[in-house]
Amino acid sequence: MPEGGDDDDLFGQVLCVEDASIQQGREDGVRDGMVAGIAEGRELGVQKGYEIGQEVGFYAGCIRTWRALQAKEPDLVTDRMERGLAALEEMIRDFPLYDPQNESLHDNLERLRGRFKVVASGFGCLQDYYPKEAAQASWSF
Amino acid sequence: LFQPCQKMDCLSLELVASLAGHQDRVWSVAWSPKGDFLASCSGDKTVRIWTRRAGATSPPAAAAPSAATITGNDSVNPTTCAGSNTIIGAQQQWYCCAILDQCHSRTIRNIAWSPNGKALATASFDATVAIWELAGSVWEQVAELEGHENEVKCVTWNPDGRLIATCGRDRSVWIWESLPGREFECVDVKQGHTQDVKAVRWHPAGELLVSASYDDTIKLWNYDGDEWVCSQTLGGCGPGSGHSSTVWDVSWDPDGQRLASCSDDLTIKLWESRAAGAAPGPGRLAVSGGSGGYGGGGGLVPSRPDLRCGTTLSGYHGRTIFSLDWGPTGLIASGDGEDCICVFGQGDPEMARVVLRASEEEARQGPAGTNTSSVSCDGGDERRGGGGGSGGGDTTEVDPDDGSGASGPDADAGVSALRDDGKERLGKGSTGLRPGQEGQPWGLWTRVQSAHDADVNCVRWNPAHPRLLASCSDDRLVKLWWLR
Repeated sequence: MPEGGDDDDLFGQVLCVEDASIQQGREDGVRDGMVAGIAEGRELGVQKGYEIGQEVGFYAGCIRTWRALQAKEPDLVTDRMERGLAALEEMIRDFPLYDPQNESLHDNLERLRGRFKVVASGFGCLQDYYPKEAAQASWSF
Repeated sequence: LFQPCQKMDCLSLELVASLAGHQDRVWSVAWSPKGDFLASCSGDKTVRIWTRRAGATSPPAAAAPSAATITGNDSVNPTTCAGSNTIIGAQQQWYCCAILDQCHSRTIRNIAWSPNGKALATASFDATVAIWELAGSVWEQVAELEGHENEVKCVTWNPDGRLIATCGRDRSVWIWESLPGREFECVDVKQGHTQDVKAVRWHPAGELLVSASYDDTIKLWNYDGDEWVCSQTLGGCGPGSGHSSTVWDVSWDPDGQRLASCSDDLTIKLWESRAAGAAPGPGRLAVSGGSGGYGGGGGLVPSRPDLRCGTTLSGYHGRTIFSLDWGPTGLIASGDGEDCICVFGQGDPEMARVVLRASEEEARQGPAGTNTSSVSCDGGDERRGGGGGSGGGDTTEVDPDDGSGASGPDADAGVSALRDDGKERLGKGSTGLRPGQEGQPWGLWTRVQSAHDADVNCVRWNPAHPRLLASCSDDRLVKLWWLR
């Protein structure tokens, strides 16, 4: 680090060139990095958001179908399963789907997943949530 | 690297039987609640049930082998039904009395007996759990629990037999309720773990479930009236010093006050309630007392666990510790990936030896109502029950402790002790034989090097004969050991 002496003015500038370059480089890097980072973040966000939305939507769809079936055949659903269905509906209603910064989002998703499996198991539909496969749920009562 | 075993010649585990028959690695063993049967499960997709042949003067064995369930060369077996004349003095040989097969399509990883000893649950890599019941003398599959996405690693019945917990590679813990008519309904699915869940075990009081995972944590679950919630996580980024690698097995002490866990990080950790602190003699209550008895006197309250790591046993194992069991004697047995079996106890092993000797004396003097150390097993080379196993032919002849040789009455006493004292012992529960001294530091009391020829996958103490230890291994054998 050059001492800032008067007689070093000429040399001072020369010696500072390196530091100046480094500084400039850093600023450029941060700027470009931000741009790339934001782009990448958006991409990831879109993907994750899609996945979460798809999963929650899948569960919502299942519930809707089960409720429709229940309307036709009320005996289909036992008390315990009714409680499970109601709990699922509530969890989906309260799910922070549009609040990605919500800390409990991940936990809620896990609880939702678990509760869905319980209800699905009660119905005998053990089709796991695999969005890639066309789920052929067999409705055996 | 290894801490030396204190006075290693004090106590030892003596091989009593080597049971061959499984065609692939044996993953788990489980004693029936009365300790009269041992179930083992294997990569060969079967479960074998082993029991001890009694002398002729004794009451018939509880499960006479059924022709339908035995395969292989079992026609060579003399029958052991009542009135049989097959006496081999007081020697008692272990043999395979049943094989449960043609159910699972993949390895059976774990088995569990129901608390009344009448049903068995098997957990398989084929993602299902099968429930079997003994109908007369034949084991039949009566139910199947489906739901796990992939390999089920462990299954366990809760103490009142109403609930079954399972866990697996899909990172979830499932809780099932047993309904009338052999129906099972899924009550809850817990997704808390972030990796493969290796083991689940119930607290003896039943309100608390423990799960151990590849994610290095142990989770404790309680029922809040609506669903099961994780009330505590040991390790991971939670408070306290947890394991630094996969936790393979957990076990409660006989009083239900402390939890032991073993891990791939080569340590065993003992967890106790923060409330316990220096409380002398945490509530020693009989295991059979039901859920009301625990938590008295400032100890662990199962419905509100507050465990912290009290002791870490390290330096005793060179490889992953796959299994541990905290026996009714207060001793902890462990099996590891170096083919060793270790036994840990509290206090002075010399004193422990004195206590064990005293109990042997007592047994020698009076048959009825005494502890069952007089019942000793002769090493039996197990070659029956389905195809020549590749040896394991240690015919260690252990003299019966009562020194009675071939005398009938002692054999009688031995066996009736097996049947009746088994129950009594269960009733006495934790107030039975306790060679260790509470509150003293833990130490390694004995180690069997090369207990097996490969990884030891599971070790379990017999609930009725607390000095009898079963182990199983990748070497396809089940071995029985006697602590002396």
